[in-house]
Amino acid sequence: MILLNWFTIEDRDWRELLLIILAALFVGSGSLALSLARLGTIAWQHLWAPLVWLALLLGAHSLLRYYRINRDPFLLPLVGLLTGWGLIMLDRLAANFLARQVVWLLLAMAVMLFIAIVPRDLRFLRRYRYTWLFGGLLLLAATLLFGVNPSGFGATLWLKLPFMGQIFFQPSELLKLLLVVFLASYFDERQQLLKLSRRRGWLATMPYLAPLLLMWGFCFILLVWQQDLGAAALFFILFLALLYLATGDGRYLIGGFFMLLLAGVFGYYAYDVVALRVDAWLNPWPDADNRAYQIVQSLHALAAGGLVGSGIGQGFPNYIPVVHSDFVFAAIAEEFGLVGGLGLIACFGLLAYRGLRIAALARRPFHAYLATGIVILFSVQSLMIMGGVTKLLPLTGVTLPFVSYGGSSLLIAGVMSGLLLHLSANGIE
Amino acid sequence: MIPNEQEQFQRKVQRLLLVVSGAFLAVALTLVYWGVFRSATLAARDDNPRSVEAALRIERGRILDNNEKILAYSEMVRGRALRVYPVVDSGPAVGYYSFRHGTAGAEEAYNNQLQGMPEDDWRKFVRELLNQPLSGQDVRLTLVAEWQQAADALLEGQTGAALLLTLPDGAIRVMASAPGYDPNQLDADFERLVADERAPLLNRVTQGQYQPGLALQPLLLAAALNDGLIGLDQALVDANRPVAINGLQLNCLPGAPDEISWRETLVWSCPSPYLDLAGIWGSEGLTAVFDGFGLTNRPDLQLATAAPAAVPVTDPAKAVIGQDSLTVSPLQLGLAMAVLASEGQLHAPYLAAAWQDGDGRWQPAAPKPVSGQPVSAAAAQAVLDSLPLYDNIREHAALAVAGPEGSLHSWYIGMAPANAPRYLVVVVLEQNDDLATARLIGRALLNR
Repeated sequence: MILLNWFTIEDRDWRELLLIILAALFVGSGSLALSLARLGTIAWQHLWAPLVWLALLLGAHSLLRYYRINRDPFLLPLVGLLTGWGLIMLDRLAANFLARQVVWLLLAMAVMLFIAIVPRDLRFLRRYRYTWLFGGLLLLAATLLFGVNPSGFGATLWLKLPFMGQIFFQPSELLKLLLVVFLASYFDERQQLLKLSRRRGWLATMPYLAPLLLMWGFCFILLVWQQDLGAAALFFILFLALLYLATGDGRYLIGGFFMLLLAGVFGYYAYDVVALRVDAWLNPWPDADNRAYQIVQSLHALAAGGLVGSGIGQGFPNYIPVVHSDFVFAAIAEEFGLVGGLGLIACFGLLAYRGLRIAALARRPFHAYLATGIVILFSVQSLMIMGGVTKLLPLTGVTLPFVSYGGSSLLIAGVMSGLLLHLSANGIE
Repeated sequence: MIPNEQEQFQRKVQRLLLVVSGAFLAVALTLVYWGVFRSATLAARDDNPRSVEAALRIERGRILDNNEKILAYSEMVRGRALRVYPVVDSGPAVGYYSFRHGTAGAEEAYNNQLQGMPEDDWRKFVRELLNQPLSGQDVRLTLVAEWQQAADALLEGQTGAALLLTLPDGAIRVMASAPGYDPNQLDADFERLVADERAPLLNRVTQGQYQPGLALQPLLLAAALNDGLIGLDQALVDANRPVAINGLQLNCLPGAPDEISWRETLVWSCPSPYLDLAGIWGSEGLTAVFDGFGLTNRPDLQLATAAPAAVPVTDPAKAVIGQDSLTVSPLQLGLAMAVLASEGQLHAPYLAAAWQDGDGRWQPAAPKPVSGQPVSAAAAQAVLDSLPLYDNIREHAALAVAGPEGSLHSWYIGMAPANAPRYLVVVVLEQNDDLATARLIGRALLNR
């Protein structure tokens, strides 16, 4: 009965704490199960990371409880559940990366809390939008020139941080965030203009289509230079969503969709990497031993999961190459079954709902655009990789936010969660 | 934002939410599609390593000997089941289980049982829900481990086989084939075993194909007696005339008197009188005799057996001294000889004494029906009583010419106790013209 009362409790602090406790029960039992499956006993090596995680989460809860009374009580538990799930999966799939990921989690949580609590308002983001954008583009340019790949092969999307040993940073992750900030402030400013222009006929909108074409061009360049289909599509969809929000005109969405398709077709014929992924998506079976190996093994993992999965540590997701970053969703579907996979999708769905709710309730257009942009980033990125892993979409090398292994991705996700928390608390501007 | 604007904005946000939710739903449905509707198809694909992993995790049931001594069991090592054979020379009856090289012997014959198949739906559902590996049921063989080990020791250094049956049920107590192999080392030794000219992987008891030679004599005598063609004490003239086979001259054993009876042809191993029987029976009659004793069929046993000759008799004169196209395995000859001690009835062999059902209860193997009555009880008993007697053992030994090279192999058949045999031993030694060795091995086994 006490538990039932807790569910109906109105107080957001207690609700947040209850949800954190539920997430901790899930992650805790997962790590215990992993330890038992691996070693037949409960061992510290599988418990320390979840304990650090729990301490971080409870610390964050206490701070937010004190400094951000009106925050959305679902955000922190959701971020907690996803990162905790990610940690036990990393322990299970590639334990040698666990310590490093915990350090990144520490940083991400710190940055999240800093952004949620410290700034009085977010005006600085809006004011220096061009600085952010050009900073981001500069970083990207630097990657094009000096980029490396930590694994020694593949796309060179990382920068090696100076004086920090083997720490790599992926600027395109930061660029996502900067782009959201830039676009939010840009549309905030242009909203009136775009709306006015619509009333003066189709031709008059042409000058205002310029940003659309510019953006498309920018993404196209990204595609051409880096052959990074995922990032290009992600940026473009983000732009379309915010453009729709600004204009309310569905034609931009439809037109943009065809432009995306066009770029895809171009990419298919121009680049082997893109062609390979599209071919493997359309029909992976004939090439299952070779180029479509990864996606076919991923489908095997999905099929093997059944209703409740094999249990953590008891399936065979390691047959999927680099399962711990891009294919962690397949591993979850195998070891936690349909229940786990659908649960994870529901978590991202809930995150999108809470984020858009923040946007809808925002008092200022800039805040609304910012919240929407962040939600679109989280949602589209998770949809792209979950859709890729399930062969609903072609594979794009993006990470599953919060869950996949990857420091830059986690850090930026922390920043964006911090922004959402800040916005939800209706920070005084 | 002004209220009207905010409302408009909220509607757009709602639409975005709808689109995003729709996309998440699509991913969810795709997941259901793979996890539910395509699950079985994908699980069956060759490139799915999970079927291999699942097979590697099957905890096979144990194989026990007749006294419940463990002959084979599975041990889990790092999530994979390792098959262990505590009795190294458990022989071809137990066989081997290797993921890479398949199965043989009882491991093959009772594979489903040992793997826990078939599995009822409810058990399967619970097992899959809990992600437990298949676990099989135990099988108890009729084999006696100590006797088996003794037989292996006796065959050491020989190429051949030894079989010990209990009578009249045809239960296999010893099935030894030399040279053998260590089933624990099968994966490591496999290439060498396959390349070895002496064929250690061959189960000579069931798959060995040997010319029966004069080992057939007691059977032919019983059949002739049964048909009323001869009397056992009927005197034979010129019994010692030579018979030519593949350039070799076959005679009675040295010292045989000129005039002997049919009964004494067994003692002196005389081939020539049997040519007269061939004349009477002809191809058809002789084939019928061989059929009757089950020499032209595969024995009713789940182990791998050699295919019998398509035409057992091409030349009756050769066939009657076991040097025609008919070849027999020690098991076939043993079962045929058992007829003499079983009131003329032919019994099917059996190797599994009992097996566990899904609930772990032992189910004894159903007795097999008698497969035929080639001769009358009286004829069988009369021939049995005519076999040479040694130390309470009725025995018969004979040489056979193996193939055109003229190499010899020796047969020994012994039954004990002499008055009402309960044990029957068959020994065959390849490239061995010294009946004494085969006799020694056979007698040693019967004396245990």
